[in-house]
Amino acid sequence: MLSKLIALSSMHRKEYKMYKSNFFLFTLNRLVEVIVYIFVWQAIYNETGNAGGLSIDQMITYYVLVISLLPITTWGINEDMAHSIRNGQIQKELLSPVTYFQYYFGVFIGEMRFALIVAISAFIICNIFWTVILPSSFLNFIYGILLILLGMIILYLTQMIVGLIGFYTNSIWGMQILRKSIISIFSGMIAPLTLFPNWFQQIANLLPFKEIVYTPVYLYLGQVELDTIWILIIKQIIWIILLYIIAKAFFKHAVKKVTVNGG
Amino acid sequence: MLTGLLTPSSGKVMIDGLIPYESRIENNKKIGAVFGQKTQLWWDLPVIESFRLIKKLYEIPEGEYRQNLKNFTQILDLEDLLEKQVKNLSLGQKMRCEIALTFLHNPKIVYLDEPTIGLDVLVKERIRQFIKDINKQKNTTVILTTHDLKDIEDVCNRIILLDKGKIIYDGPKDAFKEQYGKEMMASFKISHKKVELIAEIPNLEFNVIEEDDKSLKIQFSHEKINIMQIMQKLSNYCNIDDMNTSQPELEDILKQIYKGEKVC
Repeated sequence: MLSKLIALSSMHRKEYKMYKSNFFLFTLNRLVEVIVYIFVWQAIYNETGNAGGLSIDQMITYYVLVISLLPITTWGINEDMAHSIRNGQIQKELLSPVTYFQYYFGVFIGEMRFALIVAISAFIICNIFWTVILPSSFLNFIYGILLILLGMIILYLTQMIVGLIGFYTNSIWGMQILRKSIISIFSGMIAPLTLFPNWFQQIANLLPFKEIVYTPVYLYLGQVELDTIWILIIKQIIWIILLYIIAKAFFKHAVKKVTVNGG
Repeated sequence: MLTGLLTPSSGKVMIDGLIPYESRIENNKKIGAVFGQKTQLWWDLPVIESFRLIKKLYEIPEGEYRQNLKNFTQILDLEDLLEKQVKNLSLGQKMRCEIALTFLHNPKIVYLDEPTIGLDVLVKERIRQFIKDINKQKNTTVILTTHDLKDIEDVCNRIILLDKGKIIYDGPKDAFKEQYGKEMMASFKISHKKVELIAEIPNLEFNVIEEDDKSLKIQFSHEKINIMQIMQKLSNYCNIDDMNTSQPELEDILKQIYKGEKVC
């Protein structure tokens, strides 16, 4: 099974490799975004002497990490799924000897392999321009990675659910934008969640997205107490099980609605 | 629907002991399918990458993969194509790769939906040859839908004819031709014509389809009359310079059936 997934993921990664300029543009794009955020926060800091409860160096590190992580949190398989459904190419996946979920998990891994390379490159380049703080401890760093890995599974499952809507509507463009904005806001990609109103933070605490970006970055900065980390991990695992059941049940129904477009 | 892609709104489909839309994966391992307008190849990658992926996904043993690849490369002439990116291939090249890919895991049943659509004569020829070869070597069942009747004439043993969702014929190809193809065609070159056959001579035992001063086209049935008798009759009215008889092509028979001239 593993070798099949790796084969699929390699195919997808090679697709990216065919267009080498994309890699540089994607990485450059990260830099531009970081610059905007950092300038805004530097201005705020200079005015008020406070950067959202963090020091200015911490805030810079926050944004460098968040924007570097952005490919991991927002990229995915929805474009591929939607493209396949719209062009009536879905027989490629549905007639393959692996399940639809396995097929796209393979593709998702390929996407993440590429996203990770972009993320790391962007992070390294940012280090040249700004002073980025080192992780507060090795353990914090490892916990951060673990949360991101769990987060990837959650992202995969949410993308599957969004993608399956395409079986009914033939287009998921709007849904995809919605998915990206919900994740951006609730994961703390726009701004640290502590800056949002209380009720908003409570919702964010329930949803699994906060643990994909905000918590790992705050772990990195040493702002999270390690005692509470287990609760977060259990919360993520519960979400994974829940989303998996929803996605599977959804697929069972959706696959009956398959129409093959174009002949 | 046969492949399990679509779920029937009523009724039941059973392929080789499995219900394809329920036991998807089991079924998928046994079948292969080519849809004329679709592709299973990875658009941005060289063809060979798609082949390698199929090898991994179907867990084809190395030896078998090599042998099939070599065999297919030869019959379909893929040598120069394997390293090219799919997006740079022409339709015919793509279809050849597509078909090789589909047969790579030695499927028991292969569905070909218009595999020769829009292809040139040489490629069509090659693909037909390939299907025949594989069918003989590996006993693969091939189910073919097509608009090109040459495909059927060349490749198929059994014909199922559908019209408005109903099966109107199901049987061997030769029997089909015998049953509906009893009528022969004959065309004559003539001179010194004395009368208009259609207008003036009733009760001919054959049908005159076209006539003018220099030529004549008729249709007749062997049960009623043979060619010598026809020529004798005709020689009363004109001189025959040359003649030529032919069996009806599948195409002519089908045309008649679909036009409603023949009832099955």
